[in-house]
Formats: sequence, C-alpha cells, structure tokens
Amino acid sequence: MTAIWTQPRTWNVGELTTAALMNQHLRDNLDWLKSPPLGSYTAPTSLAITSTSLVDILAPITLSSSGGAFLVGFQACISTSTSAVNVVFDLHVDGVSQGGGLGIAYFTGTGSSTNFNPSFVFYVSPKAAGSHTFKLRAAVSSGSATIYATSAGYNAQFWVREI
Amino acid sequence: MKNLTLELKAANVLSLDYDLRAALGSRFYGLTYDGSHVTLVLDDTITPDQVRQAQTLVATHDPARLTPDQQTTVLDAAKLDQARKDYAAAELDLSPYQGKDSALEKLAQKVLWLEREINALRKGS
Repeated sequence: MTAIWTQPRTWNVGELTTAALMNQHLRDNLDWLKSPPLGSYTAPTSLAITSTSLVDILAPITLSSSGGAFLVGFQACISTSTSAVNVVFDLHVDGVSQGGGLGIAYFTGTGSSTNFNPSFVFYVSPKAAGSHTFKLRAAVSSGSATIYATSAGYNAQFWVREI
Repeated sequence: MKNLTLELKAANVLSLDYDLRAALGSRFYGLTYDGSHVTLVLDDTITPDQVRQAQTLVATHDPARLTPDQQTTVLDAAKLDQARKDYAAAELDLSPYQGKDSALEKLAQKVLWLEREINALRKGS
C-alpha cells in the first residue's frame, strides 16, 4: 500500500487520541517517512551523445508527491571521444529546466581512454502535491560522450526521492 | 527543437554525426544512440526534405566508415606503433656518440634522458 503523508496534527490538552487519528498521524506518517515516493531507472544499454543542444537521456521518472522537496541523483561511468569535451547535464521537472543553458552539472572529459564519474545529487525545492515528471538531459560541447550502462557492465542510475 | 527516433542496429556515432552535420548544417544539433535506436535532435525549422535526407543517411549508414578525424587518429596510432617497433626495443646506446662532436653527444644524452622520462611516465611512476 502506498504510504500517505498527512500534515501532523497539533494535539489539544485533554483530546481523545482515537485509533483513527493515531493510525493517520503516527502510523501512516511513519510509513511515509520510511517509504516516501521514490522512482529510479537503471539504463540497460549504453548511450552515446553527440548533441550540442540539451536532449532527453535515459527514461523519465514520474511520481506522485505529497508536496515536499526532492533529491535527484545520477550515478554513471562516462567517457568522451577526445580530451576537453564538456558534458552538461540538466534536469527538467514538469518540463521546466532546473539549470538553464548551463545545466545543473558540468564535467570535462579527457578522452576515450579515461572513464570518469559524472555523478551528482541535486535538490529540487518543494512542489505542489501531485504527479511530477523528472527528465534528465545532456549535451556535449563537441565530439561525443558515452554513458556506460548494464550492457557494458556498468551502472547508470537516475533516481528521484521526495524528502 | 524536435527529436526523430529511428532504428539502427550498429553505428559509428561520430561518423553518423559528421555526415548529418554535413548534410543538415545548423538544423542538426546532434544525436543519441543506445545500441538499437538513434535519436536525431533537429531544429524546428527543418524541412520535410531534410528529414527524408536524414532518414536516408541513417538507413545507409556504414559503421565501418571513419570520419577524417578518426582516420587521422588511426594513422597516428599506426605510425606510433611502427615507431615503437623500430625504436623502442632498447634504450639509445650512447657509445656511438662518445668522443664525437660534443653537441651531438650532449643531444644523445638528452634523448636518452627523455626516453627514460617517457618510459617512467608510461609505467605510471
């Protein structure tokens, strides 16, 4: 069962604590804290990017939130075709860029013989309760960047968690 | 910006990107490729003819064909490989230079020093 968050009740002196109230404000909220809305995607196949304009990568994550903020993470192994290829990552939440043209994370590769870790965690401020879609986007300055995935023996994971 | 996703079994990503940029110019921003599908990132002003041109380029793409940069890289690697076979089997022997022109002897010593520095770097020390 999906946990439901309720704004914790302010108790009054002498108020009867019924089972229904305890279940709603204690059990359900603890359940929510233990298992908040969470989505994750692990890429099955590696992805090469040559786009110099930010483009959707991996798969979007949609979750139903309770009105809180979010932590968004990306973990991967990546290489670039040549040295000095800049790789920009951006995040769209409900179609709105969180980092603009410069994205939310920026890395410079050193060539095809060197893999590096472009991982990051990003904080997204509270959104109204309801369904929200998170899309990871990327672009390169020139050449190409390859995100290695399960098919190449690596993990490329994108995740979102309400906090 | 619009995306066009097409099936593609194998790709030389840089070569396909090179061909599409040559054909479509600034209306092509690049691509992503996941091993089975290629997604072309196109400008909104791209024409139907250019979309067909892009589809043809993807359909006829030859992954074995290299870009000029890739050809240069392959040639450079072959030249380096050959030079290693020709010259890297043993360190420079200074004896033929000893007692000859002092500038030449000094140059040979410098070459030997650089050879040792490079070997140390390649070993990671």
